[in-house]
Amino acid sequence: MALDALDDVSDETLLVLYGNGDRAAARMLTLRMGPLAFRVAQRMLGDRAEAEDLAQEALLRLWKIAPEWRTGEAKVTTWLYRVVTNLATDRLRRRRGIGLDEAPELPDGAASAVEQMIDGDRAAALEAALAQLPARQRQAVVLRHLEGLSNPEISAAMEIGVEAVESLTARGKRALAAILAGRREELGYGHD
Amino acid sequence: MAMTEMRKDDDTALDLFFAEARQSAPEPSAVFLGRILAQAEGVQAGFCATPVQPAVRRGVRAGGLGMLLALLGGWGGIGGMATAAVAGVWIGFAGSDTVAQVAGYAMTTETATASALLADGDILALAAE
Repeated sequence: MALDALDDVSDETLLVLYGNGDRAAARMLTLRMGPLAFRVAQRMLGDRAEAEDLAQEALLRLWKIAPEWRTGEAKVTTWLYRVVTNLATDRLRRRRGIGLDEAPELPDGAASAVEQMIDGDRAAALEAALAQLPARQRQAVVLRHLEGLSNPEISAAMEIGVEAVESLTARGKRALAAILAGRREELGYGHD
Repeated sequence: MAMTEMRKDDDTALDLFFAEARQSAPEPSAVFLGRILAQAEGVQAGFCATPVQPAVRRGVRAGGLGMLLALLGGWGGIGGMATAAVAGVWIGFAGSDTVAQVAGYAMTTETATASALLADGDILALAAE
């Protein structure tokens, strides 16, 4: 099947075609899911090489599960968001060497780490601030405010209730605001 | 500044940070995508490959016939069963008299053979018992 002919085909159908040996479906899925997996991994981990490694691991799971994919149960993207963010959370947990529940709301020196940013790159400032959040808050904030998922979609991806999603994003945003407070004037977001 | 106003202000400022970050989303390299595609095709090739047949022990057939043969002791056992079946058909066709005659002959022959092996005195002793 030609690649152009697959433009309007749903992710789920593509995955079924892929499982049936369709090579064009493999290419189209790579083009759709590869950037998504990498982008989320990069936003969660803040490290390009590690993000590539994690995205590859998540996509390998997707390829392997294709023949047994049960249609109509979950969106492919929701499944991938779940796998990528869970793998990233595991890595962050290992990196910090503590359990998620033990992670401090605002680690000491978080604001000063952001203040050390050399120039006024707002996206980089946000990335540095996100890195200071506990993993689950970061997961919820990334999915909600950077990936643009709805709360029910995040609820499905994180396998928690919608209220828990709202709580995580609210706490995450408060923490980010506190971390970035000292940078707002510098980055041109000061009070009018 | 009131707390709610500060919150609103924080939210507005954060929204600007988020908007900036969304616009400069990290992009994967072509090399990375090439690696992902190669991986996808490699896994897919495994789906299409001819399934490997399980190894079959020499002389043992798979399936129902093989199991039946094994239970009956192989082709030798089947041959014995066929001979017995043919014999049964012949007995049924020839009738019970013939069977009795054959059996009687066999018994007579056995008795005569045993008698010949004993000495005369022994025959008398046997008759007295």
